[in-house]
Amino acid sequence: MQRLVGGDQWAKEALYRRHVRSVWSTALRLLGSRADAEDVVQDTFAEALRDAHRLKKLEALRPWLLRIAVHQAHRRFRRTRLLRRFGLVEGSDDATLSALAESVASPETVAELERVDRVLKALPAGERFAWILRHVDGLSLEEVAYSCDCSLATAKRRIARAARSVEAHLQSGGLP
Amino acid sequence: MSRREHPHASAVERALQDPDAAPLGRLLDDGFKEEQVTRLWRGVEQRALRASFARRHGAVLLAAAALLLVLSAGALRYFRPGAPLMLSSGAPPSVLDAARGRVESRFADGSRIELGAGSRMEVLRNDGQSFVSVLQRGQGVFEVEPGGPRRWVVHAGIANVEVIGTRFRVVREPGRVEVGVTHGVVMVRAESLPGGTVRLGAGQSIVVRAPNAADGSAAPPAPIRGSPASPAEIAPAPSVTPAPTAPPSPPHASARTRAQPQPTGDAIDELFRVADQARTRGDNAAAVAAYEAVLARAPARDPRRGLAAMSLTRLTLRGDPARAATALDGSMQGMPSALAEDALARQVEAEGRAGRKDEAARLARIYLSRFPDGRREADVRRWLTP
Repeated sequence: MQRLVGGDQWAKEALYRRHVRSVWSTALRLLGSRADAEDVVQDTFAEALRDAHRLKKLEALRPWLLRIAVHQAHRRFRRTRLLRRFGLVEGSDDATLSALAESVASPETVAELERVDRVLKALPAGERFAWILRHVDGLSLEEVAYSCDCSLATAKRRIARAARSVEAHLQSGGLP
Repeated sequence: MSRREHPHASAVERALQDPDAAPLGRLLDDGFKEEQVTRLWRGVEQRALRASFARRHGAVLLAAAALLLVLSAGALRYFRPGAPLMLSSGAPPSVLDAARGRVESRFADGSRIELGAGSRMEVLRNDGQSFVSVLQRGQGVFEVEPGGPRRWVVHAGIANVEVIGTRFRVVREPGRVEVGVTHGVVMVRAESLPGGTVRLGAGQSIVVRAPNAADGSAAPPAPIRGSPASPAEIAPAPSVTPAPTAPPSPPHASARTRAQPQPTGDAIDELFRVADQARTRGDNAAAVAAYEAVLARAPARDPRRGLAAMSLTRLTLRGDPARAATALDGSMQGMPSALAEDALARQVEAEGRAGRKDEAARLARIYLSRFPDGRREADVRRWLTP
């Protein structure tokens, strides 16, 4: 930590290499777009390296990085959604849950994930992010609340709302 | 038995029930590659450097940014697409309804639309580049100011008319659409036309008919006529213009020569845009229809056929694999080489899922001979045994 705060280049790169995969996974799943996820990864580490002196404990590093990543992803998600609404961004996401599962999961699971993708696409960003962090990344409720910078009650409420939508859609067999 | 109590819950259901023990992430392949680690690190360093530079030279950068903003605003003002086309009264056109009698609408750029009694037209898109409307019923004379920046498109059910600057008439009636041109040139697009498109010059007209209800086949369009029925005038009420019965006279023959099918590049790009928009709003049926329209129009070796077929496959492979198989089968010639392997693997899967196991096995053997180390080898091998 001392070397990191002191601006040691090796320490910076070591931090990056140790955590880049988990930040990448989270950003990719939250955004559903490889290009956006790459941007978020770079912004996250640039911000983390800049603000490393604020970090007091090494154990808090991973949650802190995730929190920055979620914040960056949230900004980018809202921006992309807005641009899409105005027709300034075309094309569909290339890293939806079903697309990420395509090479490793059974067709039935992929089909189920496609239905989940459809629900997530329609959810508000806050609910979408909280649900993905909880049910896809497997974070605890406290970790979700910290990552999303909200209270535990808010995190629970968002996850529950999103889960209801997902379950309802799955039970209906994917029919609208 | 409720979903939660089901002993054979799927992976997704298990993730919903117990995300601590079985998060969905375990089913996903994030595809993070080693080369990305280095590339992204370079990006991180560059961004950190830029941020550091910005902190040190913030004031200078701010001034530069303000200057750039001013210059950009000027450039935008200069280059920005034109505003929507307004009526000469200054109001934006939305619906032109001639329910109570003939209606004439004049536009600020000098263009004019005259609707016959009982006709109705709605503007679908109106911006600096295009003026797209649908003639819902009846007939209209369109005078488009030549040299304008907008592409005018009139949808009339089974046929669309596309124009830059001209004067023409469109009559829409149940089962038929008649287009007549007085000045300039228009493109008439309809599924039933040879090649999907016909170019009409001044003095020409054509009648496009809907597919026959009985057998679903497309009725042939009436031959192009050299003398449209007075497109300059609107009848007091909608009237049926009789389809021509006599063979064209010699002057008409030259008109027929000019009326060859035209390249439909614009239409295909438009269809891709329609498909993208449909997918964005989750309307997969509309997207599939748009991709199929691309397949119907694009030439055999056009790479866009491949793109359309792959997109269509992605949407229909599980729900309607026979449709996906048909789309791929007709598009392999024009398939971009970058997609060839994936397309063939998808075709194997589509044939297999559609119940044509022998064909799937045959294609699987082709795949394995062409791509012995292919990325989808394992998937394809599943279909080797009919």
